[in-house]
Amino acid sequence: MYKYDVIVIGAGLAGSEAAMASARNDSKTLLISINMDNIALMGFGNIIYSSDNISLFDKMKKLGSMTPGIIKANCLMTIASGIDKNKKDIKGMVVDRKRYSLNMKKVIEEMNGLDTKQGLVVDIIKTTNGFEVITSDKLVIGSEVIIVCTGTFLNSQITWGNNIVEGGRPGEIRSLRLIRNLINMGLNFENNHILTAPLIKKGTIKRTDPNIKVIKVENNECYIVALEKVFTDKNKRGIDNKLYILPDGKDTDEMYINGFENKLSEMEQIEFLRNIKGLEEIFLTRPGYEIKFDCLLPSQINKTYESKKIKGMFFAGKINKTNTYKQSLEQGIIAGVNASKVIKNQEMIKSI
Amino acid sequence: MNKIKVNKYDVIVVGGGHAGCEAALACARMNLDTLLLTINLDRIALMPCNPSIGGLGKSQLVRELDALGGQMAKTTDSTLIQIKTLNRSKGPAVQALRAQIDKKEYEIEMKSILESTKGLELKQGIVEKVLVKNNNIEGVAIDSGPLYFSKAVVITAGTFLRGRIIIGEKEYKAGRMGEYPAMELTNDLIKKGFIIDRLQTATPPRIDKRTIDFKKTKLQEGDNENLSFSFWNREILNKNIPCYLTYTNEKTHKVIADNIDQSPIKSGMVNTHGPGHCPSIDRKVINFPDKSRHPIFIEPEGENTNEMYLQGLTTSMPAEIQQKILNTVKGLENARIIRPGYAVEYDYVIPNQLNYTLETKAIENLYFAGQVIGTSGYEEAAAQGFMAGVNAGLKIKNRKPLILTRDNSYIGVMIDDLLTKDLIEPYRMYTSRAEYRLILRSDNADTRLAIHGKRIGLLTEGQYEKVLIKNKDINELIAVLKKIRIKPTRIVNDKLKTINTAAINIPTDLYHILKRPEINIKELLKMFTSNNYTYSRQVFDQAEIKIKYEGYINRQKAEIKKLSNIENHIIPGWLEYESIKSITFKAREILNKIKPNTLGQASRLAGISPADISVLLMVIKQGEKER
Repeated sequence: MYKYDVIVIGAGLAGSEAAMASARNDSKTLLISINMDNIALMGFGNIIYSSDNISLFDKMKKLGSMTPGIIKANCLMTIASGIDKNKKDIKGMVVDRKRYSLNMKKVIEEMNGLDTKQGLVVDIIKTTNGFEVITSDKLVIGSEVIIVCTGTFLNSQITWGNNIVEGGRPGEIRSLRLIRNLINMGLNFENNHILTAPLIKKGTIKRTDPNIKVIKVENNECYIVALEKVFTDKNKRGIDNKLYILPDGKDTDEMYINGFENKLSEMEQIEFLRNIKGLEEIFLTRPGYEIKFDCLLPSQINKTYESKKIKGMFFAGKINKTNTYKQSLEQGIIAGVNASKVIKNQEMIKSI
Repeated sequence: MNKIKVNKYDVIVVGGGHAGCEAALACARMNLDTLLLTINLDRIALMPCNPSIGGLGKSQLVRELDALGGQMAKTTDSTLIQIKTLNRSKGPAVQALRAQIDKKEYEIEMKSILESTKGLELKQGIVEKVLVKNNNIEGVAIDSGPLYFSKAVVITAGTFLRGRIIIGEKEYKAGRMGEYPAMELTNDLIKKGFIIDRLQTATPPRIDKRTIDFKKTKLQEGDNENLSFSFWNREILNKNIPCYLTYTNEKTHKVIADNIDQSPIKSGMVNTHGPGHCPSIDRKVINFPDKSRHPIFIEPEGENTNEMYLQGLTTSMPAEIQQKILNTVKGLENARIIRPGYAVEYDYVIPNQLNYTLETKAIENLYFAGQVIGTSGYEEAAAQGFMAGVNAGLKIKNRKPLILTRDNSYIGVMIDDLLTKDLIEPYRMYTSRAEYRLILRSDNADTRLAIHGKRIGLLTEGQYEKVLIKNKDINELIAVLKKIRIKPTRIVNDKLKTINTAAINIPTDLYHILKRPEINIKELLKMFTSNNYTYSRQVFDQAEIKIKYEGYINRQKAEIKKLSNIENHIIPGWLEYESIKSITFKAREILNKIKPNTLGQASRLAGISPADISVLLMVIKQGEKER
């Protein structure tokens, strides 16, 4: 049986950050993902919001994280995007989704003390001095500490219009058995849902239309489109009376419609967009959808992101009902640092 | 009304793999409104198995595709990290190019090319039904509801139709590891009368580069020159990132033998047919108990990743055992698996339900191409996708179809094989499948096929012109060589001696001197003319091949002609298939089992190619002479 100090389940933004932080702090770490092609792949738009990214990034850098540098290297543009309830400008970094994922994968693969493995975790068994993780292909791997960063993949279901499909993201298999296992360990879960917006083909936007404001930063363009009224989804979550159409990456023609997170049927999504001046002929490449998945009831973890009930088990990212990438990064790094503190028998941190 | 608003296209391509990409690009470039539907837009042109393109038989397909106006060669050239000529020491018919590819860059570049092609739309969606009216295709229905209408549909679903992944004793539905398959489309195709069967394919584990002891392996570098697949743009950057070679050993085989009951091929988890040309290591150990070692090539998955592919170590044994097997191998004692190998089993449409245009016989304007009709390999898929796309387009335009033949291309050989033979395993191209292989070379695909590329409108006038000039140059150069005669003087013979060739005793033209195997065309010209010929390297190469192999080529043609009279040619009892190394292992196995009475009977056996028959005929004739 393989043995590690720390096993991280899930390689999204939180999992990647946790694994790197743990390995940086001398813990022999394994990062397991259902699909090695999807390391640090952003599933819900490619903008990292913040009014204070700078301070988060500074703190992360101080802890040795290379992620801020990778985000910056793959940042297509920074925009003032949207206004929050307090009428403050929200700054956002638009990240090249594919290049960011590839870059993170490279850095993770080269990191000392960090191994990666493709596998679907089906069971976690508590042992006297740690855990055993069992994958669907029957590998048993032992560790002292576990960090669960399964994102939207636990028991998930994707919906738009009347269409319901299984999947942790469209086309990707979900994780069904692990959740039963975690419930058996005494953890409580509830259903959560996140909406995501559609992607459209850049060439079909009328960029000369007066309703479309073109923002050009170096070789990248994004478009701000005025709406007659605020778009509210079925959760009455109106954000802004503008849509922000952002590039998905420098190598692709697809653009994400930030602000149009919804689960309308595909035809309704197209209809809605084509009624907007300048978008009359847009072509929808991927519909927006809602993803329902199980996440932990928040009262069950400490500020260290360790489970109150199960010592040595940490949770970070969307499994904690986290909404933003920024929170995922922050929780990932705290959980990762603390995992190594457990190994070294040191006091854990509660914030960065 | 806006055509997009009613979801109306000329052609819809289902699937975004190598077949789908070529089909969609061909249609769009023929000025047809084209829609490509795929389950996941992040997975366009994914290479789920080996990180290489080309190889024996396959490189001819890529070159032919390029000569017709396809894309694969160009994207290969711009994303390759190593390239080499295989069989350089052997004859030109079996020489081939192979490139190691950066998989992720290939995907990214192909998606970008598709996106920037006018008239082509990409869309994420799972096709669940084909819409048919009066035996004519009308479009497709996708999972989320919308109907998409079109004049033609090309299905390139790969391994996704009811895909099932097997690893050890575990199985689950998936089109590729971690990805959902298409569960509904098969049922719809069955309802529409198609005959479906199951096939299986598998992939080896990927390991962490940092855990390999490269000192114990053999370095496998590419050629140190900028070779290219495409005829049209020869400016490429060869990064020459190496591969490595190691071997299995007795210990490896013991671990496999000890655990063979856990192999899906033994436990009955997999009872469908896998690719015999690429057997799993489990099968190799069962089938070749006397072999003490099998080669394993360690190949990079890309420039920016530590994942390494293990060609030759395909297995779907439980992950734990895969690890044990691996660690018995020299250089891999401490190697760590990142992705375990696995097998995938899937539905395929038996290809005898198609016409030579790859259109189905039952439903007009419905086409199939790639793994979904039982083939294997990126190159095979791409070539079929292209042919299906082109023919769908030509039919819409009321133009003559593009049907290639066994005597002008490997693509012709492949489609003829698919339509006439029973598939017993995923079909892969080999040089031995082609009976005219001295004519169907990798280097002359442009002179063979550019005329078709021009007719279908996928080559520009400029490209076609380039081929005409190349042809003219070759003939000119041959004429020059025929014209220059050298006399048997001492000076001449001394010169010949310096290039290690026999003296002449009668006046001889350079054309005949060049027929000697040891003579190089450029050296010869330099020695006996003061003229500095500025032809391209390709022109020199082809003129030389044409002259050197003229006899063989003509003989091959004559021999093939005789094949039409083989029907009643008796196979003598003294013939030992085992000793005929120039037919495939598979062919030897089948012939040994069936022991056909006549060549006619042999030629109709599944797995026996016309090329095999031609070899048998030759061996029999030779034997008769000797007896």
